[in-house]
Amino acid sequence: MLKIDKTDLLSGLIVLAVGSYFAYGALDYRIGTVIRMGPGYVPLALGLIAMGLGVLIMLSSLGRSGALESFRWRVVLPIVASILAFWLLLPRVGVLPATFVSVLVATLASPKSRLVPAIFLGVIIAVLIWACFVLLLGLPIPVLRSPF
Amino acid sequence: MDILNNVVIGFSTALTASNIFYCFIGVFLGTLLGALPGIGALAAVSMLLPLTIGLDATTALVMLAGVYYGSEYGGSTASILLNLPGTPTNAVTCLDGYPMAKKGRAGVALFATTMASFFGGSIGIIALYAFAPFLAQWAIAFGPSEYFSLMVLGLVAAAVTQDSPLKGLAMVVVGMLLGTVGTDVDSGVARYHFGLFELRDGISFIALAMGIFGVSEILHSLRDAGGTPEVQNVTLRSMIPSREEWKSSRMPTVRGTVIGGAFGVLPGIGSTVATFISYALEKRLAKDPSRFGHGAIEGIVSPEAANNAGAQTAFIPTLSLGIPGSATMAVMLGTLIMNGIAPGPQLMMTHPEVVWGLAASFWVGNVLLVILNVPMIGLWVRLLRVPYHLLYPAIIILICIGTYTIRSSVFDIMLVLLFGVAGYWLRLLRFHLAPVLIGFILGPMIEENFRRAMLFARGDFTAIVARPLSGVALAICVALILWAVYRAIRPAQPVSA
Repeated sequence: MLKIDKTDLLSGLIVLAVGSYFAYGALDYRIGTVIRMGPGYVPLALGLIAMGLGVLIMLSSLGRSGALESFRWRVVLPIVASILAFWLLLPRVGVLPATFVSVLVATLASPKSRLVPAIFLGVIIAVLIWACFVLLLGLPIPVLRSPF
Repeated sequence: MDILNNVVIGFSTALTASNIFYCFIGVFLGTLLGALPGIGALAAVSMLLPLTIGLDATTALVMLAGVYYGSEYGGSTASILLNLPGTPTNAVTCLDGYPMAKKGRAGVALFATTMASFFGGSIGIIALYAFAPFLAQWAIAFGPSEYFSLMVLGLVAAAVTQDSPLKGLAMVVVGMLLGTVGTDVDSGVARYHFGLFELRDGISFIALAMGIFGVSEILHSLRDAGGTPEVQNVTLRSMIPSREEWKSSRMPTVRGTVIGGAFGVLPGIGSTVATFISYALEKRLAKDPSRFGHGAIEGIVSPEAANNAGAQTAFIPTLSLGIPGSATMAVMLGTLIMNGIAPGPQLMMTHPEVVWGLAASFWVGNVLLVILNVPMIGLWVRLLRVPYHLLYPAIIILICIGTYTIRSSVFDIMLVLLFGVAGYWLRLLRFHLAPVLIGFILGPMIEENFRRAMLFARGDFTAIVARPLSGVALAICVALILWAVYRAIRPAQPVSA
């Protein structure tokens, strides 16, 4: 059976895909000549180089075996949700509630978290963030806002 | 005497009350963040960047530089006590630092690294004062061809020193492609903006740095988070080294400083390689190499001295050419640009107080580090005992709010999330992410210089190669790339550490 390092095969594919995306996108802009390069010239060249590197990485994956590491959605999803919550809540209700909710959601990523300590943690971090960034540094951040 | 004059300018800037204060804050917070598992110098610097908004350029840089070497120092504390390297540069310190801690010599190990760092750092600063002006003077005559070639060399060097050079090169190119997003300076055309207004100014480099170094780091640490770490107590008394240890760490410190200082100057290579080389050298020079890996004091002082000497000399190309030697240096340059100061060889003429004040503050910072770390070691030890599941939510909030405050833009929080998840995925695929940021910062500068050089040369690429300096630089690039390709397609590789 043909031995393939799946990690490197996928790595090469990703680089190839990113390169093709930018190279293809560059065709929308004026390429120009070597003397007078248009906005598309350098992105096209870089995209082509990335495509070449992607192919080389894929070639290098042949002949040795290797498996993919698991993505661990159970860790990733709570963190994603936590940042999304912050993004969503900060401009609407202010930094205090946004921080509290975001911390609570983030604690779901660790099996060691318990609800009551998590609530305390949320309150403490929210107050500290407010004290540090708004009170001390005076940065223009909405503190508490009614969503209506 | 010019150098003396520069020293005077530098110290009169660095020793103002506010600069000492911000240097202290920077060193303190840097050590704090660096001691946390999974936060390296780069993440620490980008996370604390928002705190410098509103400060003047010199003070902002002084504080960030403090964060930079403070976090390097904090990282070595975590390496010795927990066997958890905060950064790749500290990985070598684990090899002998942790065994020393297990033998009950943790205090000595911490004290020895502090002293070695201080020595390495001080010599590095002297080198900075001595060489940077000459380099800058020489660089005034550089044209776009020279800049283009030197930057390409920096990128290639950053890429091929990774354990998989091809993947390193790929990450550099991906970084450069991300750098093309936004309005093209020459034509005013907005490239790859996905119809989003926010992307017309380009991707915020803080969002990129926070994503690929902050969020992805947290995800990665959570993957293999173990139990609450066992940390032994360190008392002041236990930090006093024996006469034997004192003697056997002197020469390795000096050797490490020389290696680190020399490698730190090379753009793109940085101090990680220097720490590995100095460790290998000490092992080769030792009468009894078998002690290495079991708590040999030479094995920690030499890499730590190399690391800190390199951390200082890395500022030589950054400040005199405007070419960042590492991803952290790229963030520093970004800070300069954010403050409306253009980096490059003219910087020493137009803003001598920034350059020399910063250099002098390095030394002030190193003194503060010694003062801070020897008596306050108990505090850092206690910090290491805080379980990770109470820390990471706070770090996430810091990242989000930090990114938001830079441009008051919620859109950037979204970018952090995107780059964080993408960075985590790439990391699982065994990509290194530091080259992405170097490519991202240097990419637009390379494009600009390339276009200008080709315009001057009427499209004749040989004109770039014909200039001696850029010809040599490009020849080295080609050699490095060929070597990288050879290493990648050569069958049956031994697994490297």
